[in-house]
Amino acid sequence: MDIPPIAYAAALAGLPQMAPARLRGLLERHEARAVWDHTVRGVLTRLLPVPPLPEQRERLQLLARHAAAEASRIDPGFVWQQCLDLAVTVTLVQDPAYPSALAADHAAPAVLFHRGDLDALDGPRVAVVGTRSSSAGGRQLAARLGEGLAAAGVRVVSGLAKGIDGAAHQGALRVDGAPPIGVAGTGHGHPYPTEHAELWDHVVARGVLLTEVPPHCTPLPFRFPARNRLIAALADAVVVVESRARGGSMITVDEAARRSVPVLAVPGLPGTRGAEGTNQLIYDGCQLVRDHVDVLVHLGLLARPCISPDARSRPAPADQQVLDLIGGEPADLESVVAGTGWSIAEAMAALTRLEDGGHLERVGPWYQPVPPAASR
Amino acid sequence: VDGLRQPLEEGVIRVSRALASVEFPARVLLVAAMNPCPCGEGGLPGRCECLPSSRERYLRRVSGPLLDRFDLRLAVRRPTVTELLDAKPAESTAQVANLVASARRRAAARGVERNGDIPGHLLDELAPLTAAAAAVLRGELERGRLSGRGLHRVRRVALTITDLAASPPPVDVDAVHEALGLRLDPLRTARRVA
Repeated sequence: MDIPPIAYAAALAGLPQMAPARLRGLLERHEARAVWDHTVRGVLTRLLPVPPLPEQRERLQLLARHAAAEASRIDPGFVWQQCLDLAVTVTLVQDPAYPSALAADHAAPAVLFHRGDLDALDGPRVAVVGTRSSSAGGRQLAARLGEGLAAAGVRVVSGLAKGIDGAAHQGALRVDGAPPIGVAGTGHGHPYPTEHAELWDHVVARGVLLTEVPPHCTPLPFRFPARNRLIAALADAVVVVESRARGGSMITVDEAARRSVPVLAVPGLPGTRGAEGTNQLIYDGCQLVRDHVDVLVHLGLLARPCISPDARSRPAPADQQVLDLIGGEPADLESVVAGTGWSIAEAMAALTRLEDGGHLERVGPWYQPVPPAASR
Repeated sequence: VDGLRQPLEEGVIRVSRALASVEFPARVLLVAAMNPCPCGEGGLPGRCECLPSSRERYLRRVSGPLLDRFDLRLAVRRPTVTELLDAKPAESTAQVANLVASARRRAAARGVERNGDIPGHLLDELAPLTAAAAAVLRGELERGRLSGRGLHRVRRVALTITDLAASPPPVDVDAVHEALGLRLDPLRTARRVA
């Protein structure tokens, strides 16, 4: 089969020995086809820009041998065919189509595999991450965060993992809002966890699903921390919902800190496992998050409603008298008549005006004052 | 109770059998009372122990269309201790009877026994509204707080209020407000104004 040069780059990206910076350097200096051939023949070290230092030589030669063993089992034609079959688009970091959000990152993937629409990346992006062994409440909160952010036009970035990650995207998909951005640690041919295969498809249909490995790549432990760095690189802010003191989410947090991406955390009940990481983050000075509004406020996309002024027009002085009379206590027509000494008609007229103006609310026979924030 | 809707509206009870249909006169003055909620505190926030849902279920046992056919609907509060012990004498029955009689005479002059009998299509002629009064009713209709039937009933009550004050039509805005105030909707929770 006639395969394009990019197919070799795609196959190279699947080798565990090809760390992003290494592959990026190789592909910048050499044709992908040449890199592949050198890899297969176990002579990758020949492509180094400068001869390795003596103490490095042994390690690099070992690495080249491992890469050759790995590459001998992979056919770039098969990798390419799988990309075509699964409608996976392959983009090199040098390509103009490569998302600018990632290109600037020091650890940007040399080759990006995506399904969906890369335009989904354009706009504010917030990562919602957390532990896989989450509580039901944590997942609920993550879903509400995802929903609220998506509805407000903020793209939810997450790792599609079990627990918090998946819940955040499920919430984001509940509304017709900003497109979801999924970052996977496996290839497009291996949805992981398998029970999230449907979620993967939904994310592809509504937004974009990115990964730095070709479709045939199965879950490998070291891929997930690498995936987390992409989440941090893509996010304008990282929100941690539940996390243990150590774990994948904390890797995302460290990667975010390295990139000066703000980290926000949802507090939890001390003593519960999911609260260890997040409470520590808050103690260390991370912004506390109660709901999606807190995140929007932090991003400067929204002012908290309660600090905005009362939008209602001021009642007329006479009506204000009724409002003062009712005070914090509900009152009925009769007590307003008794309190003001007005006729029923006058009292009723004032109450109707106040109700129409949003100052009072009627519950059966009772009139209750409406606090400023609630009228919005 | 909902079976009373037709007699209340038309003033007759119609019994139809295979061979005949008979009408019985049923022009009644219907007075009814209900508790505001299962616990009796009437939903007074802080005092009432009923869940909003149970209160609503309780009130829904009387249908909206039936309530709509009551001209006057009042909330009666539990009297306070002061009201129970130091009640001032209200108007005497004789005084009130006089007022009612004079209002009835005004109604009779319109060719009906009571204002409640004025047919809807004659309301504009017999109970004209001032511009301000019409505007208030329009607002209530637009906000969905008044039905078409309710509109007619409010206008008749407002006419009676005008009659009781011994003032000639048109019906003014105060009378309309008072009539609206005497037409409480126990189920109503106002939609919050945006």
